[in-house]
Amino acid sequence: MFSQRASYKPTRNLRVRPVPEMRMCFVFTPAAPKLYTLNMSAWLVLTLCDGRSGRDLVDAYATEMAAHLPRDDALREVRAAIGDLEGKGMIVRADKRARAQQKGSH
Amino acid sequence: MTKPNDLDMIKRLIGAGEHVPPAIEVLKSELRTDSGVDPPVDPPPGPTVYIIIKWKYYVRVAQLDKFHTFLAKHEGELIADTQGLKIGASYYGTYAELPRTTTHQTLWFYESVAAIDRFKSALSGKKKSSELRKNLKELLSYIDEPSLTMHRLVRASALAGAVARQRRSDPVMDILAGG
Repeated sequence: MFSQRASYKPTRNLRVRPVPEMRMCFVFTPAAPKLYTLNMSAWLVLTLCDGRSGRDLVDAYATEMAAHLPRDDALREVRAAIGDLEGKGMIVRADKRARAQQKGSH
Repeated sequence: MTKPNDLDMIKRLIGAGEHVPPAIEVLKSELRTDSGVDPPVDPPPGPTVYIIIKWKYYVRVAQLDKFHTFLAKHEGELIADTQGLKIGASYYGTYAELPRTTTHQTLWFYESVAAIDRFKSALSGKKKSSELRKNLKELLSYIDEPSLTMHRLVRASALAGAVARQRRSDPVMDILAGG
């Protein structure tokens, strides 16, 4: 579930291949081998998942989409996209990733 | 992972296009035969255009008014100048997709496959200062290039029997087709 406080990062070894001429990118999730296509908006959300908090993510997304939609709609879209990205194993909450890495090193 | 400068590119593309909510889809792999079909060189008789080439692209919001004004002034010349070449090629118009009007489609009509080559030769043989080249160059200048896609459409009735003739052999497909 989306949290404005949590911070989000891409999962380890995630492969992203931009295809700007088709206004999309391909994403491969090696841990659960699947290939996905992301449209521009989903690609933006994924790119914004660079360790920033959910609140900052919504701010950044709303700023980019200001010409297209109000902040409330931006929040709704980010919430849904984060849920989708997390569910498909493309992003993790940064604290979870740190814990997983710590666990793996023991 | 995406590089930092990808973010600028993403922002630019988003700014240039229509808004679509985030969508993520699983890419399903498909088994395909290498069965591209080339249209017959000679068009069959018929009342409609044989080949349509469609450009689809975005125009930046800041450029929209200028672009539409350019078309209002010069589209008639583009139609007349291409038809005036009398080589079976014509500019058919540029259309904006409603309701946002940032997506555009430009249509080109050709009477035959050879007409495409004739049009290329005619254009390259024209002086840079010719009205046709100047107008086409200006039209191209409004296109946000990363968004440009081109579609080739051929009159489907011309392909009667062509797919079966040109389908290449594929061992897996052949076995399955044999029941």
